[in-house]
Amino acid sequence: MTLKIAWRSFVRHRVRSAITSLAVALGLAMMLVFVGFADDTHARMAELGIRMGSGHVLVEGKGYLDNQTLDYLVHDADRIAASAARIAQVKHVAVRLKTSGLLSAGEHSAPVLISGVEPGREVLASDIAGPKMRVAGAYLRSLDQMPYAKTPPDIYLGKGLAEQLAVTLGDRVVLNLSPPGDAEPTAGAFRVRGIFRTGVDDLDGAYAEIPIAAARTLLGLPGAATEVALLSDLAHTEEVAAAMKAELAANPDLVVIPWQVALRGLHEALVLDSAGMYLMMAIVYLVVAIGIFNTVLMSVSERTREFGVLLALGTSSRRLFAQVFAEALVLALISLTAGLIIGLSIHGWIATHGIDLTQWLGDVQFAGVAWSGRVYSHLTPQVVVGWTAVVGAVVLLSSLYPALRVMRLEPVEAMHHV
Amino acid sequence: MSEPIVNVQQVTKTYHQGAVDVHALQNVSLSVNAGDFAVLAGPSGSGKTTLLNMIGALDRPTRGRISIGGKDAAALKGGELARLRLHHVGFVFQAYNLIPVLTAYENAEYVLLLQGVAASERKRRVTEILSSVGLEGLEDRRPRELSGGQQQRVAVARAIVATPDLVLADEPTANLDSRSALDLIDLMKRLNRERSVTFVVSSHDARVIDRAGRVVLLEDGKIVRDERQSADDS
Amino acid sequence: MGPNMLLSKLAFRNLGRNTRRSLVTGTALALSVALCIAYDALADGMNVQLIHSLTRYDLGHLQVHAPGYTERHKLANTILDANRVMKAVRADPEIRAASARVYAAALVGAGSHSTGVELIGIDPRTESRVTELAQRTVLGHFLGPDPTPWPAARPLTAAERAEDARLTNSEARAAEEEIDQLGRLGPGTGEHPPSREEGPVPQPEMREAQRLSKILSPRPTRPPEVALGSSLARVLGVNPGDKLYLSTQAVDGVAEGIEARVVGVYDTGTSTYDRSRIYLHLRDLQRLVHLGARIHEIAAICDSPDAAPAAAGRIAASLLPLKLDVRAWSQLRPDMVRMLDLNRAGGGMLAAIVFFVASLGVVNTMLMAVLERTRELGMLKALGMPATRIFAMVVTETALLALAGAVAGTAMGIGLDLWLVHQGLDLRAITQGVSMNGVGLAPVVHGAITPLGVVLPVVIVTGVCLAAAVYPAWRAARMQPAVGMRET
Repeated sequence: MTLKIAWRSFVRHRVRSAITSLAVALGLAMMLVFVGFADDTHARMAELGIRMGSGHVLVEGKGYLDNQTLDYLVHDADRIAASAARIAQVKHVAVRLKTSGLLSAGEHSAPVLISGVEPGREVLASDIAGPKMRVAGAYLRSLDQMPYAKTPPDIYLGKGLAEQLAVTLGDRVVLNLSPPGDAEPTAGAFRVRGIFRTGVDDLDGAYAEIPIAAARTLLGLPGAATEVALLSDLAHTEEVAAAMKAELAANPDLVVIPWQVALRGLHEALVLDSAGMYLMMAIVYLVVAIGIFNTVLMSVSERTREFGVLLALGTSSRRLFAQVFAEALVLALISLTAGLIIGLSIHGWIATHGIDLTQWLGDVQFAGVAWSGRVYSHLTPQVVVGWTAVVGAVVLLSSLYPALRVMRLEPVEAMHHV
Repeated sequence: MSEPIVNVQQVTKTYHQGAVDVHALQNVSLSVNAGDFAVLAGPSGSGKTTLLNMIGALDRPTRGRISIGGKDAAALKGGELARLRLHHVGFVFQAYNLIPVLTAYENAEYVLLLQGVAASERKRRVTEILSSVGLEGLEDRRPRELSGGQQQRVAVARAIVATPDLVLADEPTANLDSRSALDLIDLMKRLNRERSVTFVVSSHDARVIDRAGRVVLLEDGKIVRDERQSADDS
Repeated sequence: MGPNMLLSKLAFRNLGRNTRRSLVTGTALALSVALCIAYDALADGMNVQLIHSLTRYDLGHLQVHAPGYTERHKLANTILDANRVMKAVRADPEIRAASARVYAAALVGAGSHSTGVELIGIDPRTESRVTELAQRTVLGHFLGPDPTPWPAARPLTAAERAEDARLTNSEARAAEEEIDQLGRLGPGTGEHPPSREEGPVPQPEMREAQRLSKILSPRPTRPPEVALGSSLARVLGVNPGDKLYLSTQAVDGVAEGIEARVVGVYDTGTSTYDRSRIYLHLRDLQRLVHLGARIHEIAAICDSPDAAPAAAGRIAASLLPLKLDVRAWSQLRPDMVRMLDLNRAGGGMLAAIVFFVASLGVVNTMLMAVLERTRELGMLKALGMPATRIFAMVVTETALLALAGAVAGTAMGIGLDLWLVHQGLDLRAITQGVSMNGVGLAPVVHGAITPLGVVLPVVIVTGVCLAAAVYPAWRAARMQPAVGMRET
């Protein structure tokens, strides 16, 4: 009976109920669309960043993260890479030796971050090595793939860097490096094998890759690396990190760091972006809550006489509270259902077709990741249920005060309410 | 003859309206017996509505005792008063009687639901009561689809369906046209006669007063006359 | 009292009839306005900070280059007739200050660490009026105003020139050979490349070349001062007072190197500036790379960033027929402009959503207000009040409500704004600083109040409320007198 009265009271004022439900439904729908959008975008950006020369989980020498010099190395990198490859959920492993130096060609020179890589592994682990970002030439060959020892080793550099040095495919460049310890600076000649373009100025203008063997020789660091990168997927990052930590329990001078730490700037930027979105939605929900509060209060107020009669007939205050609350429940159910339908439909459309933002944004670089092309939407059941529950809670909480107020009604007074 | 259903003993009710004290009832005593058809009469402000509310456990006296169906109402708290009303008293009000979103059937059924009566039993009693007040065929109508007179009949049906000790009616004919008013009074009298339903009606409608079995006249919060009369049953 | 005055009076009294309801609705409107104003202030504040980070630590509001310099950064591509150009820039009424720069790529080494950097030569006196870089010094002090004294160069005698030519040829050949040898290192050789001393270049020739070189470009009497970013200082492990070595290539192709002394360390929060740049005096760098008095860039600031594009246009025109690249910061970094627009758009979107939702509440409120007065409205109509008047009355009521909400909201909003401007929003729990398009944003964001950010929400809320009033007003106007007067 309580539900019967609640439902029919809802339907009785069609326009008012529709308007109130609309506000809630839109609130939920918007949340789902924004969250889906943001989750997808963030996941893509994270993956992009991870696959541009980093990894979901990195093994580094202790202290490398803060200092970024060759004094903090991963020795015996190949063995560690082998054990990393055995971990379930690890798709690829890459071994890299990174340092900074000066690249010169003729009268031009430019500072560069150089990454010594294993071409066979790197092409699987990093998109920079792949065909999408390669704009000219081919990728590196490892030294044992080079047929004739007389040719200088390959170098693979960014478009901006190539332009600065005024070099193109086949040209010779000289790389000046500084080995750790008190050794003298060294130099090596390389031949431009390929040119890439990531869209990130820092990479395109100041990053290049060479075979790790060449780097190790120039620097006098056999078998060493600055990082061993494990590529997996976002969902399994924690698992993989834990497994790797267990493997390396006996190595106190190695640390295992997840991408959120390695790419701290990117991670924090994504968190900030989410925070901004939640702030916006909180503001919207505040206004929705006030609207519901007002509407429920109004509808309760106009039925004071009716409630008076119910009390006179012997309805307990508690039951009356349940009555009003039941009406809030009906409102919540209807509007949440509507919101889910609207929100999930839009989500479905975006997830299938995507939205092309390039006409508005062009190429945006955000926290070191270049972001262009289509954006999609990604929602998990947990997220959908979670936000539906939140909006439902907002509706019910906003109705709480009006519902509690009816408990204080006296039958005679109420029946004579103006 | 029979045990008094309601016993009002030296009841006083005072309201505080700002700085002024309103003495709605002053030392009123009254007994209502089973089978009575009593009318509380008097001009507005005489206290008849207040007295009715007392009898119906809708309000508590400032001083004095009220027992309803043998229970002492004064000592009860709000929730217990509600329960008392639920099981012992039926109400018919002047206006806004029925729940607008429920049908006639559902309105009558409501009290039985509150009492926890089983579904089959509810159906039997509601159907029976609605036909006895002459609303057969109109069970599924909503209040806005019924005339004023029909709405009051539903109210009466609802008031007696749970066989309460007594039915209280506050100005039941005030919003009705002549025809419906007379029909309603006749219905109440018939129920009083055939089913021994005890009525206490507060009214200043002469037609109601004429048909009363007992008239209690109030003036300024005091009972000035309380006499039985031979009812005009025409 | 005229009919409109009466209308307003009625409208006002009607709102007062159910004060709680009007109050709650008004509060919702006020909050919407206040929060949108605050959000706008935050977004604008972020933008102001981003522009500041971009322009006041390095870029300036406007820059002048030789054509093509920004794409390739060729050392030889300097600004022709630099003095005249500088004069023209400073002559523009909107320009407050201008400063010249020289750039060169170099390898810097300190102890056992070395890395590639960009050397930037500046004139500290003029630069301090254009950028705030000096104020970001955290250790030591920024560059002093005077350049390092360098002894004068003298041209080579005829005999010296002949010797120089001979050495150049033989050295070039030897260098090529050496470099090719290095290229032959394969896996398993594990050898260090031969250093210069062991190489095929004979020692006496080397020393002679250096001697000649020193005549043409003598070393300064003391190590030049440099200032560098905190991240770079950390990587190199240097503090003020330490020495470091700079190796680079001069504009004529000669390898040059010089010892320098760190005097200051700065921190701007932007990694590009803090990790890969070293500042030294303009003259010092010019001497080092043999540029004489040539410069690559003039950076200037205006009174406000918005004045830059117009100023750039004027300066370019005034320098014709010299074809120079004169661009404002917004033209040099269009990606930044897009990001700024995006930030502002976020605020607009929020306002749209919030006000739409609030307007739904207004519709409900006004609808209730109308429906509960059906009798009265029916009576008014029966008495002869035209439907349009009734429509106007309801709209006026809504407008009053909107006005009250807007006024309260603006007051609240400005209050919030002032707090945001003064205290700022501390985001340190979330982040230590974020980079947008390579420009750093500090973790404490201060608000910025703009007239648009305050006025726009108010205008929108009023418009939205008036739109929301239409349906209830229409219902009221449409009501039949007889229906209205019958008790519902």
